[in-house]
Amino acid sequence: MENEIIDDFASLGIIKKKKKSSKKVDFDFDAADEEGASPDAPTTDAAAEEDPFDGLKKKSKKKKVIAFDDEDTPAEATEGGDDDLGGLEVKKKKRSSKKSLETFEQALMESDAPKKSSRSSKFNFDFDDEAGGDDMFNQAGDSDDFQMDADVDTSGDPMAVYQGNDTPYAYGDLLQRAFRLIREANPEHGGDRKRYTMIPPQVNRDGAKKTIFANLIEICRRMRRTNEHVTNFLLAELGTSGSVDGAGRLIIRGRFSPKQIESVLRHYIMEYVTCKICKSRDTQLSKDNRLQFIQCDACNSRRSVATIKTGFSAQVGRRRR
Amino acid sequence: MSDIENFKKFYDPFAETTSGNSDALGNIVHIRLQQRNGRKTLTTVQGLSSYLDEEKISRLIKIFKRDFCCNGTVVTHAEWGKVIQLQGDHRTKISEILSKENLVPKDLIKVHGF
Repeated sequence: MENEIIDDFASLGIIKKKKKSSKKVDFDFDAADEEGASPDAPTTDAAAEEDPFDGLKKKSKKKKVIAFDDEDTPAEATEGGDDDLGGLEVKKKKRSSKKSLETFEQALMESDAPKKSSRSSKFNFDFDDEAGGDDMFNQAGDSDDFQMDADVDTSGDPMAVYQGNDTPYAYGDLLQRAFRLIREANPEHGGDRKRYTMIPPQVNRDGAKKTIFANLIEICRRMRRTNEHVTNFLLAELGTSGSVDGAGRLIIRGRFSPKQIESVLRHYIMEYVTCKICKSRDTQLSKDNRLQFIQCDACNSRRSVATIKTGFSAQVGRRRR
Repeated sequence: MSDIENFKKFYDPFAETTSGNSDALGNIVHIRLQQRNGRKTLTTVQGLSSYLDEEKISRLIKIFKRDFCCNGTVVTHAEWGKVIQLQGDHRTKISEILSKENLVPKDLIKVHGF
């Protein structure tokens, strides 16, 4: 027995050398089965976990493109480029770029208007996230961030390089240019889809042991989910108990920071709001024969979701007798 | 080339969704965190009994206890079987070990909490 335990330690990564052999000895159960199942497992999860960064990167890129139009410096460069490519009237292009900037700013203002909170404190739901769909809550860049991007990128108009010399066009640059033109001509085709914004949860402490989640109802309304469903999920995930008070606030037992609540909400949105097919958050939850289904309003797909289970909860605190 | 967003990741819209139907298999390992008094927490690992028998669970918890420098027990629950309890927040470490040692396939480990 003693010997076995030591082997066991080795198998769990204490002694690296013995790992392979000892594993066979100790965890002899279904080795083949496990190994068959596991290799493909990490890919999905890893992808999902890395996605937020991916999304951020993408976002900054999107900003970049807008930043190009912002400054007039690349105008000459594009002029040259346009002649070179023999395509577009410069004037029209310039005007449209101006307009697109205007519309962008207008959109920003509009999206800001309903909530008086500053832009930096709001979350943007990005519609075009891939596989994992993780980057919903990514923070909208605050204004200095935006400024900075503009500074950095004005110099780097991809077509400026080709002005005057005969170097063949690189595919990437051409593609970038094409996307930019598309986006200027008709924004809804350029991948510049509208954002799904979610207000941050208002969480404050009630005494030392309770947490108040004040704007639960507002958030539920935005997600189009019932109060109870969201509450159940939150409490099950956090492993505590809680209740909704008269003013519609959720009172949770235990200390939780807004950040923690937000990450749980993000999980909720991923699991119970996002359509897995088209990544739209425009969905409805319905109950049918004891099973819950998500119906997507954007692509009309329908999938079943697991019911919320609380699972095991350990005895915490004083035991009742 | 890597600037092109569509090429960054291959996304197959027709692939089976992994989460959701894995629940139907019924052997997800849930790793949860519970708050105790003050800033103390408790990590519970539920659903290991479909992968490991009793003796192996008790051996595993010895390793957990030693590696994480914490105390812990195995609790037998009427509905959920053997449940490991550990003092402190060890969710990521536990899920790492379980998947790295091929004890539980990674997409069947579900880490709860914030």
